[in-house]
Amino acid sequence: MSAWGKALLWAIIGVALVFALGAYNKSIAAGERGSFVMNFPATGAASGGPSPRALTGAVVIPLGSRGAIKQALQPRVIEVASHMVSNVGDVPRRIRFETTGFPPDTEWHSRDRSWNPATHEIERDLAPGASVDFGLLVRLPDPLPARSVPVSGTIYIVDARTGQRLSELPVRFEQSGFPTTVSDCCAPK
Amino acid sequence: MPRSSRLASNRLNRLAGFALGLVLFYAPFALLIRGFGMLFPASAAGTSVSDVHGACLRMPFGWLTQPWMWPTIGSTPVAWLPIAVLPIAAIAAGPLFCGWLCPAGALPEYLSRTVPDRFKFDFKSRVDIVPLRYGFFFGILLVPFVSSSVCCALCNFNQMQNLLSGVFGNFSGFAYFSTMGIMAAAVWIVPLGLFTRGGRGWCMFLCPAGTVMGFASWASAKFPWALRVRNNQSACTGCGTCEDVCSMRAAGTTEETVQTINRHLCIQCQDCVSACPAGALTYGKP
Repeated sequence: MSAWGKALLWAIIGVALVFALGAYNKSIAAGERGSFVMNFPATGAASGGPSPRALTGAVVIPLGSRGAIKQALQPRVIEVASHMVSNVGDVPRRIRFETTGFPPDTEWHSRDRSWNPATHEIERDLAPGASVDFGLLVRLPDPLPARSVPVSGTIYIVDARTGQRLSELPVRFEQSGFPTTVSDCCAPK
Repeated sequence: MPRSSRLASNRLNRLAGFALGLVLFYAPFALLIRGFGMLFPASAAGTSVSDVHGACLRMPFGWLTQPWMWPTIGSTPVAWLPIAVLPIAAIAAGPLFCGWLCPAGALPEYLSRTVPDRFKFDFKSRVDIVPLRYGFFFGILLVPFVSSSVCCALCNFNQMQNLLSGVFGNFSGFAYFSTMGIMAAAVWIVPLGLFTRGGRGWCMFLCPAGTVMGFASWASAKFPWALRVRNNQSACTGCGTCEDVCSMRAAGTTEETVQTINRHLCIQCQDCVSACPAGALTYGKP
């Protein structure tokens, strides 16, 4: 084989290895980290606003797809986070995050310098088009409740000045092997 | 000065450079990121916590292939660091950033010196490093179109930041980890670090910024004003010392005992210049 042919072969091997890593990452990432895009104020009927997430209306985290290392070392801690919590309105807004339904020891974080960890508020005005990041470290109960959705919660974006809810995003942790509805549960075999 | 002392001195000088890199890019210092934040207060560098993520050297390459992210590049001045500033600097003087400033590259290189060479894998003798390196680079650019981006999943800068934050008592970086994150950290330090000749296996294959700087350095090496490690082939005795000390496996001798430098890989660390007993290597213009 010529030198160029060998070089091309090595380059193809490199591309293929990264593609394989990407495929593996895709197969496990959804179960280890819930990534979302969240807009405010929400303009659609679906809670997340005009974003890709609005199509599904919720972040779904399939716990069964966690990778082996995560399963072995840290199965109970799942991050739900976004780099893109964006003001899609036409006026600057100061926002605060609220949640319902998550375990009480859930940790909140943002890399924004104006983040107040006590009030969960971004203490600056976000201009139209501006984005902040936000995330939750959810500690799942041990053992997990024996149902298909052992934990579910909702993230709300609230106008810090008026208290008005601007957007909301349901988050569901799912596990397989359990009935999904009461009728499934009690249907005659 | 004996050549062993010159080599030790060069490595000590580089260590000082890597300490400067820590201070410039990594929290709790991140002076460069803070400076960007002061210059561009409305950008992410100005509004976010200052750490190595403020000058991401990986994601901007992924953004280049995603037209919907181009406005983000425009509004993120720090994104120009890996895609413009560092390559231009590499055209002028070679990838000095890699050889003298990048702590994430230096850590496995220096750690690998604790492991005897007989336990290490030498990619140079088994693998065609340069095309494999470019293959990884194009894979990183293209993989979001077929499955999932691996830019963040394979980020050794993040691992370095977590380690340094831990040294300063901030363990938040260890509160959550992913399967790919653990795999990346382990591969960066162990097989591609401790057990790779030169200790820079990660830099060879999985750093897009290093790959782009290597390409820029190769493409411009013959410019009359370009500063590079230069070899005087008539003075070379073919002793192989340069090959032994090269962390990127870029220096070596051919069968004709002629000294060569692989411009795609050389990071201008100048360990070979310091170590060459015949004085056949210099850093300068052609």
